[in-house]
Amino acid sequence: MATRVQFENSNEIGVFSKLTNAYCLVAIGGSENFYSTFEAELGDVIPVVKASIAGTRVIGRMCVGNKNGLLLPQATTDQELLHIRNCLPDSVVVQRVDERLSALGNCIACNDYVSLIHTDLDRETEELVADVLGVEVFRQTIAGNILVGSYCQFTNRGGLVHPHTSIEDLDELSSLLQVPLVAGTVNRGSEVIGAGLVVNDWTAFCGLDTTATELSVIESVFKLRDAQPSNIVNEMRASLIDTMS
Amino acid sequence: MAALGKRKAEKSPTPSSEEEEEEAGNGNEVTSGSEELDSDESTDPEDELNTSSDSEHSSQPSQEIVDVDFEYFDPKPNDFHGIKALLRTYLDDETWDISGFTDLILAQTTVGTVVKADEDESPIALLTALNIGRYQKCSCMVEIHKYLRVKSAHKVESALLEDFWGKYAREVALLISERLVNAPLELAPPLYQGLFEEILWATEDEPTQELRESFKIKHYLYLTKVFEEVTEEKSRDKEQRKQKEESEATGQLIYIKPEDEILHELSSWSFTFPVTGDGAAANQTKGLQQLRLVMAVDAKHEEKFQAELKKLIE
Repeated sequence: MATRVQFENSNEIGVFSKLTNAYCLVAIGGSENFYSTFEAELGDVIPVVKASIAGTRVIGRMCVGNKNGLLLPQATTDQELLHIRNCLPDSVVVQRVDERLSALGNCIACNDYVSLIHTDLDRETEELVADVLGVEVFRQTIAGNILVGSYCQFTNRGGLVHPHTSIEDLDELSSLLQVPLVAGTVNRGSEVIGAGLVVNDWTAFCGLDTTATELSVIESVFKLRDAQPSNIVNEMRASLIDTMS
Repeated sequence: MAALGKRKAEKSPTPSSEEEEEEAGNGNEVTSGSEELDSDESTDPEDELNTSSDSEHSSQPSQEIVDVDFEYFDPKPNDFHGIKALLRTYLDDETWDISGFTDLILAQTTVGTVVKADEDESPIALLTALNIGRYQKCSCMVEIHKYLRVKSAHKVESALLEDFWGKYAREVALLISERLVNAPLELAPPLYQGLFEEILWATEDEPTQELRESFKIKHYLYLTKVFEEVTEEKSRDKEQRKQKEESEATGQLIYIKPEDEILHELSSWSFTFPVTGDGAAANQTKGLQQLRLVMAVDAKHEEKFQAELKKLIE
């Protein structure tokens, strides 16, 4: 299910929030509408945490995470780090990264198994990404853009990339990531997918300007139409039965 | 009507520029520049280069002349994001239907102009007029009305404003003029000339009688940004007494768009109110307070306005 939402007149949802399968971070805004929309959709299943990073509200672009971990830039203050660590589930490893390219959300895109990173990212950061997030790391560009985190958004079920991505690139990325990919736009023609859309395995949020066509593309490529949060519970059930037998 | 005219402006950064003060007051990062038209005798490219080579001795980076052509276009659907960006602070930090408002402007192809450096670029300036009676029922117009009503409460002009949205709605147009902070002043005269001409043509060319009538505009309602000088004592008083809205400017008003001053002089009535958004606090420290100015201008002052504007440029 995809929901349209706005953060104080801005349609760039992905700048002010970060959504994964295990938690959701939202920025502290003027009105409670933004937070309550996320709470309404996700509140029963995963924690929705209000946070700031380095005193800013652009948390979606500063951090990167999945169900295994969360990476924060060096500029994150100790209080912010402590607050986030306390509110997130214990299984999520929260780590600060000393990296020159500090807007991690723009440089790294990931799901629970695979990640794409900026071509100029440090080797140490690459290793941290592999360890903390528990993913395979690939240095890639998207439609010639090195800011992979800004121009694509993918989950364990599908992905949306910059509209000018060529068919060859799409095939290559799709085989790397092992998920179906589609080149498209969000927020009425905006190419910056990472800023306009946040998505996990069962729900997505995008800006108010997103057209019905864009929304239906999002719902179909991310397979949101029949998705239920219980899918995660089912996975757990399978492993529980394993141990019993 | 593709391009109404081309203005060639030479951007030559000079150390002292009056524009810089206003722009610094905005807290925006701006490359200072004074605009000079090609036809002026004073500028000679080689002279500029000679003077700029002197500045190489100083720590400033070497200065270049940048030629920019500005072209005038009708608003097109592609301009949606650019126009929306220009209108972002129209109602300060209020949450309202900016997308719907932008759609209204784009839909009105007969009246309205957008200035761009090139057809595929983002808009630099926007000027259009929306008849209040015609668009009254749209949600964005309702929100604008509500905002202005709240901001004008307890003011003398409140009743006059209500009339504009009530019994005179069909004769009043909301004038929307937004541009980038450092856009040259020379853009304004052709913009306004174009607007008044298009409105005149619309009274003859529109397909239905109702539409033709809607362009017979008697008054313009204009909402714009201005600054007010705040002296040290005043700001201390304000803190003690809590900011009260002033219906007359107690300090000197600084107009971001120079033609606003002419319009203000010609206006039938006007009022100002302080803003609460992001810009407010930043500017306070520099001795300038950002305000919004609402004014009503009678349409019969059109020619006088254009004459005064022309004088201002020269």
